Amino acid sequence: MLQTLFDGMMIGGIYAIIALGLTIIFGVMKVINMSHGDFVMIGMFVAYFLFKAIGLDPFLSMFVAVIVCFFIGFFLYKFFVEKAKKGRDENTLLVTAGSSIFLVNFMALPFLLGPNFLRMTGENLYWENKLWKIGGITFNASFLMGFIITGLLIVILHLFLTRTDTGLAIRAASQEQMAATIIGINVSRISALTFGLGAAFAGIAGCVLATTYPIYASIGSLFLVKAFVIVVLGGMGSIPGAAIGGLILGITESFGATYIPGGTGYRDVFGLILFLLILLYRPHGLFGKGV
Amino acid sequence: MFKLVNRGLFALLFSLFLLLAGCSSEESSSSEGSANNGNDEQTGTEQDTIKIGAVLPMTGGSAVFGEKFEQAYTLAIEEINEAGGVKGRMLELVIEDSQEKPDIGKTATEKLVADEEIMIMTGGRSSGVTLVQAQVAEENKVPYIIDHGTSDLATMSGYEYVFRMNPTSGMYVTALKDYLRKNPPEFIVHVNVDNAFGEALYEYGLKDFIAETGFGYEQLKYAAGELDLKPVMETAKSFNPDIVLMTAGDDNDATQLIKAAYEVDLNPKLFIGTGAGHSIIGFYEQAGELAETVLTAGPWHGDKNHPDYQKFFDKFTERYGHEPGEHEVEGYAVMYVIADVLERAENLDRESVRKAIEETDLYTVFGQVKFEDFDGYTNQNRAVTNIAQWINGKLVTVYPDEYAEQEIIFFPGWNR
Repeated sequence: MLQTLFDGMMIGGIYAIIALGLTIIFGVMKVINMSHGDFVMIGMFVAYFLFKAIGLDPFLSMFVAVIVCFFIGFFLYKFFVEKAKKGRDENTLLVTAGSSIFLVNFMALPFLLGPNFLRMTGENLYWENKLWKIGGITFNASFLMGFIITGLLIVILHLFLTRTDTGLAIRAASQEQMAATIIGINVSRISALTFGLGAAFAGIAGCVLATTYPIYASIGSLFLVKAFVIVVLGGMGSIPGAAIGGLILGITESFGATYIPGGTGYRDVFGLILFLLILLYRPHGLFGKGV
Repeated sequence: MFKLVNRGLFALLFSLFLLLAGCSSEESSSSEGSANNGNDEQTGTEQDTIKIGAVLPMTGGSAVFGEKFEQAYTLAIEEINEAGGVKGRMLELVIEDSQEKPDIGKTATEKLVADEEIMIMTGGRSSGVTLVQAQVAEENKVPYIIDHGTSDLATMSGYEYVFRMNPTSGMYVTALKDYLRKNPPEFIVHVNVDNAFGEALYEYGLKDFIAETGFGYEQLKYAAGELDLKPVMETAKSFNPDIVLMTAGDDNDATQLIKAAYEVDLNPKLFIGTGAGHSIIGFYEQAGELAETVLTAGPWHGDKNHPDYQKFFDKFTERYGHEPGEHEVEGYAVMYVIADVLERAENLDRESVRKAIEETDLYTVFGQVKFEDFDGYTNQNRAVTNIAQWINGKLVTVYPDEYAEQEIIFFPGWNR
């Protein structure tokens, strides 16, 4: 049971990184980014490509993935999402959903990911099937690293949002855009920056996942659904909510699949049941502000 | 400034879109014409060709399998055309993409049957797509030889125009059942994929066998494409099984299963896959050493010592840079079956072709092909099944004894 708990926490940690990105985008812009999962895929691709090309460790590739995802996210916002925001709310949904279709099909081109499953394997890949045994519990080494990185990212994000001018500007923009504009904050630039930041988080998760999971163009959709559940669970726009929501989802899935009879085939269902319960009984989420 | 950049960006995206559209149309025409690439002098006009339709996953997560069949079909058709074709006419392959989705597969099949020049169809790949392709073929009276899809229903529904060269899901485990009768296990945990393939394999292959033998058996289902399979293997471990049977539709699921077994330190006497994902090189390439000693029970893929097989093996490997496996052998063999059928057909119309298929009795690299009615099946080839084992990166036949290249090696444990 302890093993199942830790397994759930490890995968929950990765979910949390993805959800953190989605929640800060929603928190500042009130935009639901339907292409968020595809940035996980891009992160996986960057890690795979750099490992195959120069043997770079995926945890070092994170720095490149952050830059790549940040800029794609930044420009996606600047040139498409921002324009859609001027119209009805659903326009941003359609634009980001369209971006998702484009990214999936673009990455499936033969000179990028191609249509097949790829997997990061090789003798020089330290993380391949690497297990660490700590106090009788076996950890997937890569996921444990991912879990530690999640913790670090939360601290860094907290410091960034509370101690830097840009972070304070992001918070101001998320609370009241008009007032933020009046006091001289360039809300458009801050929003694009936040969108890029959210995408960069997804890219980091992609690098961790690439060590263990297959890599293909449409894999992002699997993580998008989980990120939505977590964001609703934790409270839309809430950073601690995303972190704790990720852990709760990971643990719920692991326990449900392991201990509920016949539950092995319905792993995702447990998360969705949780999603429905939260929507019914606490629609603003665990850490969200009530309406 | 941003307006300028904006315009530039839109122009760039538009160009990219045109480029992609160009690539895609080029890809589509080349896949359709791939079978006669390099034979343009021979093919001549369209009237000089006999069209063969195939529904395959050419895009999406299963595109890897579509590519395998396309390569095998292309090689066989090139050989047949170089040898003079059929009735003096060249064979032409028309592939429609199913994306491995039954609804898209249905549309793809409807497109093929609407082309009156298409005399016969093959392909299908997955059980789900094969079933809808069979339905559309029967409704439109177009002969269809299944070369890989395993859903038993396709040849249990009394269809007249649907034939199957490969064994069904239920037949996949024929050799395995024979082995288990001779070597009774204490407890089998069957980690089974929750789709048409897994369901048919249990329903038509194992259900009666388990009831009849009384072996300890527990079935654990998982969703196809699920990434974290540790809970499934953790549950499997709690039964302390001596055999872990694994059904995976593709090499991705097969890899995730064995990785999960490794992580939870599950150590049965034997890990046995049931063909499909466990029997293709992608499984070994992805799982690496974890795949060593994993067995796979499924179709026997011909006598590897036969000169025809070796000729095919060498030619395929040289041409495509990888060794042919289950899919490639089936794809290559079915094209020779089709060429034989077309050659024997009285006239080149769909009804004559159907009659000629019924009379088929041909030795191929896949083994003997003859369509018969037996055990509730109609137009089904009695394909041979075997058990093979991954040893040093190669699939080695280990059962039945008459085809065995060496004895079964028991799983030595993970020794983590």
